[in-house]
Amino acid sequence: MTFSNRLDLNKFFLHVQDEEYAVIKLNDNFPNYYGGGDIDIFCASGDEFARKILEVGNEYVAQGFVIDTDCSKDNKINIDFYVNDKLDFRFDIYKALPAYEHMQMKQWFFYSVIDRRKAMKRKYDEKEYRVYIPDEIDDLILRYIEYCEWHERRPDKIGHLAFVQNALSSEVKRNRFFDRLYLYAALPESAGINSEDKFHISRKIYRSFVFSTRKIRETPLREIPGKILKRMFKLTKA
Amino acid sequence: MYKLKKERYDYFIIWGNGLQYKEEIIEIIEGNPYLEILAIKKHCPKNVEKLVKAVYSYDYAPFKHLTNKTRYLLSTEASVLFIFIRNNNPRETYIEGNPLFKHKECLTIKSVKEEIRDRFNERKGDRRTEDHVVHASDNQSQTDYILKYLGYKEGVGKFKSRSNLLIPVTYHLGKFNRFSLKEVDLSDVYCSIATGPETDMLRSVCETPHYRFLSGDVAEYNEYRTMFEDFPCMMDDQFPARYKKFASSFEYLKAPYSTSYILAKEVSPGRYQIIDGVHRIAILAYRGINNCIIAVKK
Repeated sequence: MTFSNRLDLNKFFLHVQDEEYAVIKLNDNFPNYYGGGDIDIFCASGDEFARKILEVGNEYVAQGFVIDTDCSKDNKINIDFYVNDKLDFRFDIYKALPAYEHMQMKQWFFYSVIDRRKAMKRKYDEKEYRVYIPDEIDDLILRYIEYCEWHERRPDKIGHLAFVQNALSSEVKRNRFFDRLYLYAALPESAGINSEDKFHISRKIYRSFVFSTRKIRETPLREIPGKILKRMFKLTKA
Repeated sequence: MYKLKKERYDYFIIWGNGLQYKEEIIEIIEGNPYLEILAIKKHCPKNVEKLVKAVYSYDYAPFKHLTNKTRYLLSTEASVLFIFIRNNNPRETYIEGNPLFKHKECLTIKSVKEEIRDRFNERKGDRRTEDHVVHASDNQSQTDYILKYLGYKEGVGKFKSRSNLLIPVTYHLGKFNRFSLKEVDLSDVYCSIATGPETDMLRSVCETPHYRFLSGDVAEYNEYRTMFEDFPCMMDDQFPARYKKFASSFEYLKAPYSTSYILAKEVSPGRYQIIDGVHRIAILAYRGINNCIIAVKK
């Protein structure tokens, strides 16, 4: 499979370098991309970021691209670049946390991710610029959330969990991961209900959860999310 | 960490004695980088006194204190121009003066107002008189009140609900969330031109009064403009001289107007009707440009 690269992503990210943003799960191939690819971005000012994408996009419209923009959702703006009626690339610009189905995260996690972002230096057109990505622990948490959200429909998302497990090889790092996850995660309402229909995690994990319900009752509330996650983690690794 | 964007809505009113300078006054307001003109509304009150009272009813001084100050207005032309603006730099502070009527004012508005008064108030000898050609709001609630007085029930809410979050379009369009950017041939673009109070017809860009005005046929454009005098929102800020000046310097989609797209809707496959931007597309056509980027509302 060959890269599309009809859009020069360097141009877009050079233009938004003064914005407060973080690219989520930035692909290793960046700035190369395959046709139909996308990029998820958390933005402190999503509207301004989107306007800057359109400003660069004008040049591509003059070359025959069509840009479809959808800002009907409160927390997200989609900007799709089409060429010959075929989606070439999509910018998913988040103005708030995505509505996760299986994980409940506190909204300020979104701003903390942007606040703690780290810069990746890049060179383009003899100019140095920066692309911002989440710090390592936030990146792992986001990958973990992605796994929880999708693994039932997309078994290939197990890769995210494997990535998280490998990255958390040291005890220190693992504790930092769980501490931060505990800080921002809230249990889904359905987590307290013994119904397999409502609790959409895998059977293996579900069983583990059910088995530990008695323990959960005896555990102080603030320690519950961390304990469940630690147990899930241990189980999947085994 | 995150900057909070502060803005408020204000208005200027050009009284009858200042209307001869309206284009210069609008230019001064437009020249301030923090003030964004949203609408210009001509108003012909049946009773000037009533209008003066409405304008000053929210003033901090009791009206009897203002009677002398505003007496000159009763003999001015019974026609005024309201200019509604988004004020992106409301530097509010207490102004020195009578401590009884101490109130906050916006320094941006005050400096623009004083510049206009210095230039256009009648002068006696080498001093400016206090027969002001303009008045401006001190705060947003005054703007809200005046909008309601003019019949806009939603007050400043009229301007707050932007039609689209990303692209600036004229304030009276309904809200829309989806649009496409594409390059189109100008021969596929049509403009809805009113032929009467409730009738209109689609014309190609080169057949619009706007294009003809640029080609030298001023009469048709003026006649067309006159048709809208009683219709708020329509062509409310396009004075012929202003349009001519605009046409000479206009650069489509150049910073800082890179997302100020001409807006259209697709009336049939590959055929577009302009919703916002007839003046701009007429300029492009007059310059001999054959295609341009437009935003197509979905």
